Amino acid sequence: MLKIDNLVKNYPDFRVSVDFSVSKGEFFSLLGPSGCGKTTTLRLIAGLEYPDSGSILLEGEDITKLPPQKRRFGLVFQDYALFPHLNVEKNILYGIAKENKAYQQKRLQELLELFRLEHLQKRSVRNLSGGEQQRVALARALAPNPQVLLLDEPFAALDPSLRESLREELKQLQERLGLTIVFVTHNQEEALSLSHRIAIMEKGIITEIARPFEVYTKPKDRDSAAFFGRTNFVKLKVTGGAVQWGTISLLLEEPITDGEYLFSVRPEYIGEGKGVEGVIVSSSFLGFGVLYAADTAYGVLYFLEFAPSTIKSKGSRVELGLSVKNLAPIREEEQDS
Amino acid sequence: MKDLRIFALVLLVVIVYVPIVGLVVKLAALPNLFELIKELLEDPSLYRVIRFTYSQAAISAAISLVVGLPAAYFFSHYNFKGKELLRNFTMISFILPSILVVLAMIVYYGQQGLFSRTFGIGTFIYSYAGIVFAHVFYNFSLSIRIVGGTWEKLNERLVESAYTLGDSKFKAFFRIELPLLWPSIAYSWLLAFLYSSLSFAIVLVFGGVSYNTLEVFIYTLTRRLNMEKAHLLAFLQLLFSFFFILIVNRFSSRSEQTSKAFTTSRAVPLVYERKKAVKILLVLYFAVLLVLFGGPLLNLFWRSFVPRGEAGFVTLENYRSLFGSRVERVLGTPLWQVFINSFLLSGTSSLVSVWLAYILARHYPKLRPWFLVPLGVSMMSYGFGVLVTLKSWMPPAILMLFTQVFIAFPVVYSIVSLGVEEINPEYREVAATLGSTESEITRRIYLPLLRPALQSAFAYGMALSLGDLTGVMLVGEGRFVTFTVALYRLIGHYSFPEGTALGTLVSILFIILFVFIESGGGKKSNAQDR
Repeated sequence: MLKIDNLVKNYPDFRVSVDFSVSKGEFFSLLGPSGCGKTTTLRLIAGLEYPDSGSILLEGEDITKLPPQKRRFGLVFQDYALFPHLNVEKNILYGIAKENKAYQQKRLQELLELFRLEHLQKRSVRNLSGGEQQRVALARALAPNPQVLLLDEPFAALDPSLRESLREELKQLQERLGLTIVFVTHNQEEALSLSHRIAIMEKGIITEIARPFEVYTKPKDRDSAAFFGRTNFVKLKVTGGAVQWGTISLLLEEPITDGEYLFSVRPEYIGEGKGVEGVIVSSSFLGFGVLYAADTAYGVLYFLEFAPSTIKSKGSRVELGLSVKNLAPIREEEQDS
Repeated sequence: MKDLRIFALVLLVVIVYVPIVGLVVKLAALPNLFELIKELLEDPSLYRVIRFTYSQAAISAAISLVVGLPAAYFFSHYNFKGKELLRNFTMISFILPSILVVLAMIVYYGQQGLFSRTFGIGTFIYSYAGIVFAHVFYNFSLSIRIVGGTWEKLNERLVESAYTLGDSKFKAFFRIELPLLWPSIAYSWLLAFLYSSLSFAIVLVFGGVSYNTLEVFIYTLTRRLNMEKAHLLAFLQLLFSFFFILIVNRFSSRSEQTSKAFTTSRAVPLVYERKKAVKILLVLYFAVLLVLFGGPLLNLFWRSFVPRGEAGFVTLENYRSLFGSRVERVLGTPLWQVFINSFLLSGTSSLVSVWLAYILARHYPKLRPWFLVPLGVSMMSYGFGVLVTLKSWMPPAILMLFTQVFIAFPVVYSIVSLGVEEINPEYREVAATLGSTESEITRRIYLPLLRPALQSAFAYGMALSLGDLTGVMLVGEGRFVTFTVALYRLIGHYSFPEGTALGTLVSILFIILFVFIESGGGKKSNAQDR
């Protein structure tokens, strides 16, 4: 539906170069650290900036040179940019002021109801909580029935507890209305929980596009793996479709040719079991479980124990097993980086 | 320490409040007050003066706004080489003494002025239009600073959101930008209105017998020794100016609120494409500003090196003549004495103001509105208050000093108190736990942190005091000659060559002070046109 075709934007000391497409009804996330070019990409899509080369196609039509007014894309900024001199109702109606009054009223009621804003209809936007502001911003962006909704870190300004519930709401909304969303975030958890697909961006380019489960469990390279939190990088030997884990060998789900590979193994895929002996060097209690670090023949390995009955003390001996579920090597050329 | 605080507070009360309260009390004590009021109300000249004062102020303020807005737009939307210099250049006219502006206008727009001769037109300055023009010259930078300041910080995402919702640039301007800029526009109009209505030097010289503002009218009555009528009018002026400052303050806080709540430091660089048409407009606009407003000042500098009747021949003749005996006769005092008077008076009053401001800002933050009262009092009302209240029991030198502190203090206080507010109070507490006494905390924590603000405040205070003509003329009764009085007398005696020489020296002094104000990062507060 939306095709971003070799889009390039040059700055004196930075270059953004992206290529991807988003299907109708898809929740597509651009994930990356700040300064990686994801917001610039979003601004290019919105038409707030124009690329130096490449094109943007919407349903096959080239809209690269179309001004933002003509694109019919909804946009929600991180700080929502609600018009301070207009109340909730007028903010929402802003983009459909040219429509007839009856339609405006109908659309307003729909959106107020959808976002549970009925009681705030006449309220000044200056007196809204962060969550309410976000709902007004979403309602305003959706009022003209945009073909694509662009969200630039819409949760960044909210409390963590509020963030989670609003995230859930956004997900339901997207599914219910079949919205096509391009979502920019630096928060992995948000990207993982909301998206159909995630594009990981770094230094102006997209390094990987994949589904959340794949990107988390089978990252392509070291950087992608490290981006989603703690992981263990372990070099393991593979022979005859089985991986050597200390004293034992485990059959891989998807066989690969013999050799030595670098694997990214998340702490939750290692636990007490058989294969590798170690000594606990540190422990962090996380509430739902305990994250341990153990000194082993592979160096320090992190592993998670869920619902523990007690916390192991420093210096205790453990034997660790490995789950081969989703185990896949990460990109060879990145191994030494 | 405590004694010092109380002394500072008492001193401020004596300087600011005793003359104001004295003015009112002494007026109430006049035995023929009601006859006086009746007489005044029946006097048609009063209505003429009031009509002129406020009509010219309203027009001057409106034109100032219109002249300044394009610059406010350019400065807030475009980045170009020399922008800061150009911006500072537009600000300079605002801090120059008004009598200097008068002189610069005479030698440029006067009968023999460069502008009049070049374009072959007669002079317009001794008229309603001339007075308005001078006020625009003086105040157009207000809208650049106030409206431009808000515009520059306006969250550009608001406008971008409007674009994505279908607005053209033109439409977004009227639906989003203008409503948000409105309080700042109103505030800058009101401030220019207030300054123009309190104008003294410009109207004194250009108004002749036809045009009087209330300030000039009161002064003229005093000179004619019609003291009772002047007293009543000074009271009336006090009421008017106080009423207007209340309105100004309302808009000031509204303007600031908009500024604070809905602006941001731009996260995204300005990406507005620079079209050729915009470039041409920009150059044209600033060229017109340069000819109309820069011209008088540049011409003043140039003329100071060109002796009478010897156009094109550069010498220091005017400067030599400035220090000669003819000028001494005109001024009634040698020029070196004028320098000493000016520096001593402005330096001391600014120093006293900074000291008072520091002590009061640190120890009586809650009294802030009371310390800003002088902003709402016309200089003529205050000066008259000093004459009727303090003159009989204080030497003239002290009265002069009080007048100058009154002028400098509110602005100095705004800058210093802003600086004090920005200092985390925990520094004081930490220093105390580390063993520092109060005076050590002042010396080792507050003064170093406040240095830029104090520098700015001192320079600003000095500039305001040096630029004052109203206070020195009224309270000094012509015996105390400062730069502004000297310029006024040189203009009165048609000694323009020497006037341009002194004017150039004073301008250089003000440019130096301006650099000090700016480099100290001092906020340009509501300085009144005195």
